[in-house]
Amino acid sequence: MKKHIKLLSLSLTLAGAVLAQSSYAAYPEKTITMLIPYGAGGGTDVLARALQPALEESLGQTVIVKNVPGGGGILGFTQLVHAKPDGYTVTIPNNVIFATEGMGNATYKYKDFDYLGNILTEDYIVAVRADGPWNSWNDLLKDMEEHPNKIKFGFSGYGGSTHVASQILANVAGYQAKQIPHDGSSKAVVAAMGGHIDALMLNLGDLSSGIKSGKLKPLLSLGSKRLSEYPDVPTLQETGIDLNLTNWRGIAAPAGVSDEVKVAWNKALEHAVKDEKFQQLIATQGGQVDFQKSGENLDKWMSLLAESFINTAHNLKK
Amino acid sequence: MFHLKEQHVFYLFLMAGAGFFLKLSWDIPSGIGVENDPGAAFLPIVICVLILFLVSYLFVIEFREKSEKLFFSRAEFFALAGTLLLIFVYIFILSLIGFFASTIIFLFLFQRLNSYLLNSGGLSYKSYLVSALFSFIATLSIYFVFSVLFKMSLP
Amino acid sequence: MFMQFVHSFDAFLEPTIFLAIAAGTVLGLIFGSLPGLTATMGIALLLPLTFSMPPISGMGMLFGMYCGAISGGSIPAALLNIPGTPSSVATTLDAYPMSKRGEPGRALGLCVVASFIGGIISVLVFALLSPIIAKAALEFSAVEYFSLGIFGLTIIASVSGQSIVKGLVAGLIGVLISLIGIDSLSGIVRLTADIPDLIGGVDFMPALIGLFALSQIIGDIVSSRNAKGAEIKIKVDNAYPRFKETFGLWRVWSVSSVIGSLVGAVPGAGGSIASFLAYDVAKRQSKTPEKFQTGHNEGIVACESANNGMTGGALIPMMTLGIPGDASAAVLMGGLLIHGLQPGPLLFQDHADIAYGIIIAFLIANIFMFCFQAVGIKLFVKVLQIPRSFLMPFILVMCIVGAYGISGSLTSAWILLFFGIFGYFLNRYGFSSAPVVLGMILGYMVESNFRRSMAMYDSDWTIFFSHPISLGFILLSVVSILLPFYYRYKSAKK
Repeated sequence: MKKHIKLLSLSLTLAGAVLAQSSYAAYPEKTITMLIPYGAGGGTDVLARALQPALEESLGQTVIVKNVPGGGGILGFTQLVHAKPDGYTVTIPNNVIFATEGMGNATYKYKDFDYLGNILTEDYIVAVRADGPWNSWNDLLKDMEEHPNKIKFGFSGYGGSTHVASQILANVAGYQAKQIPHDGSSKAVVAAMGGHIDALMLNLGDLSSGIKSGKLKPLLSLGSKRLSEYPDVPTLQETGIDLNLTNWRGIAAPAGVSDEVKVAWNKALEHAVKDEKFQQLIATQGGQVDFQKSGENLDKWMSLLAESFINTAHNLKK
Repeated sequence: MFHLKEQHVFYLFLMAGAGFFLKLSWDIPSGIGVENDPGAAFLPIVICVLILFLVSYLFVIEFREKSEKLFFSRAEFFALAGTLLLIFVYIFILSLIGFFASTIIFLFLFQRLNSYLLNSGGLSYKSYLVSALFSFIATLSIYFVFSVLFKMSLP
Repeated sequence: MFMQFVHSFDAFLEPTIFLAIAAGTVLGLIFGSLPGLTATMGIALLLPLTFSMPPISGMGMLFGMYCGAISGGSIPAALLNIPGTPSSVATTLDAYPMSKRGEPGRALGLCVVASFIGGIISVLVFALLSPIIAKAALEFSAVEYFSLGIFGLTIIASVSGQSIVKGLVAGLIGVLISLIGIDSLSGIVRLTADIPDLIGGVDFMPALIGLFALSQIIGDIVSSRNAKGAEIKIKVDNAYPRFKETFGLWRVWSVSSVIGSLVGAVPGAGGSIASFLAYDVAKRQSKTPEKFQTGHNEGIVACESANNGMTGGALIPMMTLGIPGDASAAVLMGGLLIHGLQPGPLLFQDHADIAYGIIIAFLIANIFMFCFQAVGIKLFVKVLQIPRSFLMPFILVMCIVGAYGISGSLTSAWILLFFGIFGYFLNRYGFSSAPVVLGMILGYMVESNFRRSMAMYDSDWTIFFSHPISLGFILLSVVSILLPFYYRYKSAKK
């Protein structure tokens, strides 16, 4: 039965795509809404507003940024998947969509999105307070193995992407720490900079001002290669565990958009990421511009990330 | 001597609300979360019980107090009901027929209601024209400020 | 360092920079005075525009928006009892009664002067003391946030009107409302009664507009039927506050501005807490505490200098640590990042000319804000001459549309309606709306930080007393609860 429904919906979306192709040949012909599932001022919001001018130039249409904050992104993403898949409503997702699906708080699935392109990647970083006794990941790991539940390990909210990432790390590296959830990444950073918690799992962008001020020390990167800014920080793979996790931000639409839309967005994004000021912004935010066109490769990467995040998040509920 | 007053109805509503939230808090699953956390249900339950307790206290105290009685006159009641109904319908049709049409209709009707209630009269042909003009201009100016000047999305 | 400071004036030889700051300030005043639109939203909307500007002009424009919006929020608060931004909630307590008495010019004038003084003091605090304050802000952990929140909740006693019990009930209801939605410590969605749009919690802005604006509108319509007469015509007095009056309040505005700057510097505390705290302190220090909430000048000055004092304070952790003090500061930080400037201690070393230039731009924004508002008062007061039957529907639609603009869904409009009805009945039965707001601001902050402290220190209760800052707040709370009883005892003895 389930299979039939799936097939039916697939054929429906295909039919929709064919229909859409003929009627939307001139995409875009009206204002495009970029739905940001966070309040004004977050990293995603700033990214959207930085993209806005270049996208308008390339797409030839007004792009409106609409904030739908709440529930750690759930509200906005839900609104998006209920929108028409015509390419006039898009969003900037990240690993949060997988984590919230796994926690069971969201009603959408990761397959409800069409990924129109990736813009940047941000590595997950483990950092410690600089006045602590740990100088390398091995120091910290040893401490955590010898004294389970002693190290206060912070991240942003429970069941969010950084919590899931830190849980995945704890599972594969085999340690136990005192997990301390915070209301957002900046609160976690303040707590670590003030020495109230010991270690942090966040994205590089959230950590960079703390690291540059000398109050935080990066110890481990979960990315696939070393950071260009901090070449001394090893990756998890180098420590002998074959795993890499990165966060990403791209453009996604409700599943079922036409190829016209995809082509238009590929072109627009390629143009937007080339802008010098934009690259500068991403660099200061600690991200790496990593433009990827929509297509099989991107979808494959997404489903890999989705699987590991959904599974781990699911286990957090027990 | 007992004095049942209008606010007792309000207190009953408050108590019912607190009871409803107490039930919701009771249903919050426990055991999820980090160690040593007293849990997501702890404070909500305490607060609901406190509200129930304090409101019952008010209920009893004001039962015995001899104070001026508040009451809704018929006209007041209709004014309240009319206002709320209009706003209710406005929000409801906003999502159906869009910003322009619904706002013009709402502003016109609400202005009529207002001027009827405030002036108790003034139902001349001219005042209808003024209301219509007002609702049209007001809608346009709101549209201009929000959508054109600030580029915000409208319902 | 001094040379760099002098050097940073070079940028101000260009006249366009003043134009940019002025434009930002005017837009900010508009944004702040429209209920439903917040300073944060305004800055975010201007952000793409500053992309192509030189950094100091761009940041100056954003700062103009920031100060203008925070200050502009007092205009509807004073004239119509409708706070334009969350930080002007406390302003309504005294500014509205004063303008209702027929002195809207005086009320607005006090707001403008207080905003200006608060802004200037906060710039000075920011320029001179930011390293020390930033260090102190880092001392705040979950334990201290909890105690600060508890202290904040004791303010309920001084804003609850005639009955303390009713104030408590209203405050508790506010706390309960703040707990609705997803809980960041367990990921559980709680108290939403399975309404999906409440997952993110009850939106603060529409609830606030409902409690203050809509309840006011409903109240006016309903009670007008009893009066059975023409619209209430207030005799509008355009008189500005006298110089002597303004100057005589020097203690209130200086204390309140400093409170505003300090509270603003604590990340996550925000302008509404700052103005409530300052209001409370002013009331306790006042020789005539009974005059508060009846249109007293000290109350107005305290709130308005505190919320503009907050502006500079919120920039301290943002500029020196790279941690935004509130949502507006977060967007401002985005403005810096767009120009490739990483906020943090290195900003003042690597880009000293720009960093000091930004401070000067901030100062200029405050001066512009004062000039525009001082000139505008006569114009603003005219709003009161518009017949209420036209004004109220117009404001109501703006509230609904503004709430939609911030949250992007019509749920906010339903929330607005619900809180409007709720607020109307609260007022009718002698409850005050201010404690509900306090509870909503502080409730989740107190709860989540209590639970976080328990998780960090293995359920050890004593940490709230062994951390010195926390102990200080706890003692202050105890004093603040007991003081009224002491006064009552003393006056009973007489």
